[in-house]
Amino acid sequence: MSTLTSSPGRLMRIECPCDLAATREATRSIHLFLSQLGVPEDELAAWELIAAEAGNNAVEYAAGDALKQPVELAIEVTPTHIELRVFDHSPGFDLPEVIELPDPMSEGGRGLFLMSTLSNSIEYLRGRKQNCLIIRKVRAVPKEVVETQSNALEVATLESTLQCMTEELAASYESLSAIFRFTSELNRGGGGAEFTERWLNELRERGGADWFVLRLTGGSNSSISVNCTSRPDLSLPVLKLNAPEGSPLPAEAQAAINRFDVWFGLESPLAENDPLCLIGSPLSGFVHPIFVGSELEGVMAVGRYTNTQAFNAGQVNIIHTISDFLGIQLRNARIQEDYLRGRLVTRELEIAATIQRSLLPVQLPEPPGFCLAGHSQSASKVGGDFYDVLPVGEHGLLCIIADVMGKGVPAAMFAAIFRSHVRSRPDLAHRPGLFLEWLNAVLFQDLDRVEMFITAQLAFVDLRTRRLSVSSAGHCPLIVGAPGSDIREISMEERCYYLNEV
Amino acid sequence: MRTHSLGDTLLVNEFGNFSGPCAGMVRDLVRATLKPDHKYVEVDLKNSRFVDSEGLSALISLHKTVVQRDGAVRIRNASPMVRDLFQLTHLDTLFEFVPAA
Repeated sequence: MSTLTSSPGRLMRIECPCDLAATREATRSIHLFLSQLGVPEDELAAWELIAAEAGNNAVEYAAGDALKQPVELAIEVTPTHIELRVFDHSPGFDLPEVIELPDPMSEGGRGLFLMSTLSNSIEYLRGRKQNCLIIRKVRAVPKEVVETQSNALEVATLESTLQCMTEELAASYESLSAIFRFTSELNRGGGGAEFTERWLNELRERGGADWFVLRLTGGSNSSISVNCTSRPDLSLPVLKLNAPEGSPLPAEAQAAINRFDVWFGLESPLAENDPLCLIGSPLSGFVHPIFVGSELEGVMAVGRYTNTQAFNAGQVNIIHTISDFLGIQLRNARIQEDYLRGRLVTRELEIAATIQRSLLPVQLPEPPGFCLAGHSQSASKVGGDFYDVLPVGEHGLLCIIADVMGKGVPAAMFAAIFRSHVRSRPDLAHRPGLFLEWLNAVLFQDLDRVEMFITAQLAFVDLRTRRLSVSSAGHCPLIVGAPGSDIREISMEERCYYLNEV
Repeated sequence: MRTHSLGDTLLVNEFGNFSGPCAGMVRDLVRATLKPDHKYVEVDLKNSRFVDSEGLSALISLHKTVVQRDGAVRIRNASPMVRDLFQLTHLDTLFEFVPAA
């Protein structure tokens, strides 16, 4: 037994190496300690066996580095109960809900049965590097006390018991109620930065931490960025999850990549380049990766401004629970945001389609001797293309076809602006080239600012002479056809064409 | 810790509490000493105020060995507290308890 500390009253703590002989020696010390406190023989026997089994258990599940870590036993005696806590550093085990006696021929499995049978309650709190087995047994009231003590003493004993139970219940209730409130808020669809910050502060308080940093992937596979921290005064950089080989990975990146908690403190200090070093020195704590299903959502780093005080198993459980619940909520919020963005795009396209439809002529002019027809079929849902035919005086028609680069509302809006400009200058209609130059001059600045452009073609028809004057601004060539001749494009060199009688 | 051969019985005694690493040592000693004509193993708990699950495991292991020869493990000088432990774990029928010699 390497160390033995005993308070003069009711509490004794023993730290011993992780082997059966050492834990057996610790058990004998516990027996002696209880005996000196006047614990009756039958209780003594039960506690010696409980302590021995708890020690055996701590050694049995230890392997590798855990065998080099000490086992700590702490026993507390109160007038109403005795409680033993055994801290080990093994990977731990799952405590079954019902602890049953194994088959008579089985050589193992009786330790847990004996501990649970001889006590009133047994708990096993599992942490990343430390577990705690808690065994509690209510003390029997000695016969002589019953016989000799007055009713007042009996009441005092009961009140003391009640007080202890109330305190323990209050502590458990506080932690549980935090989790329940969290769940309730989740169900009501709570979210957002304020929600996150409030719950992280709750986590810090319940988990006994001094600081926290929450980083999220935000859907990225290659980096994690700070989402919320108790130290907003610090400029914590974005962490790459594929750091170059050779350089030590920061604790948060390690946790994200390796998918398990990374602890730091006196025994395993942070690397010099670790951003968490900006928080202060000394530091201790751990980084917990947050997964939703099999996908990484982020990492939660929590710690204290000391390098010696590790979190206990209960605090680790609280931090894990709240972090994981928060991860689910943040993932849901992101899914909801993506959904709303999708809805917004759909709505935008609907508006654009309405604008585009409104640009197309409802009815085309019907000048004598001519027959006009038009049809527009957009390549996707919405485009910035349109056509129009405008009567110019009594003997002229201006045919317009244009296409605004791009899709959606911006393209439809520029198409509308283009159409308005065209309609505002009928005086230029009979000179399509000049008209396009003017249109370019008035629209260029606005289009250039948003890096968009419009291709257009104007064709003016003199109804009296049947002369077609054409000008194009980067648009597809005009195609003409006539009875008895091939369909062909009008080249820009021609500029003019005479329409035959229909 | 000593063993004595008495006809078809191998006696083991003079050890302390039958728990933790001591229980394993007793089991290993008996296995190493056991001869083919030994049907019974008698474990004397005279000096064992205390037995734990490691002690029970060692006894069950020895029981499995001798039951193959139609033998049994006999327990001598079990204190009332130790007898309670066997009852609690329902192993009181697996072993023969013999009174002090």
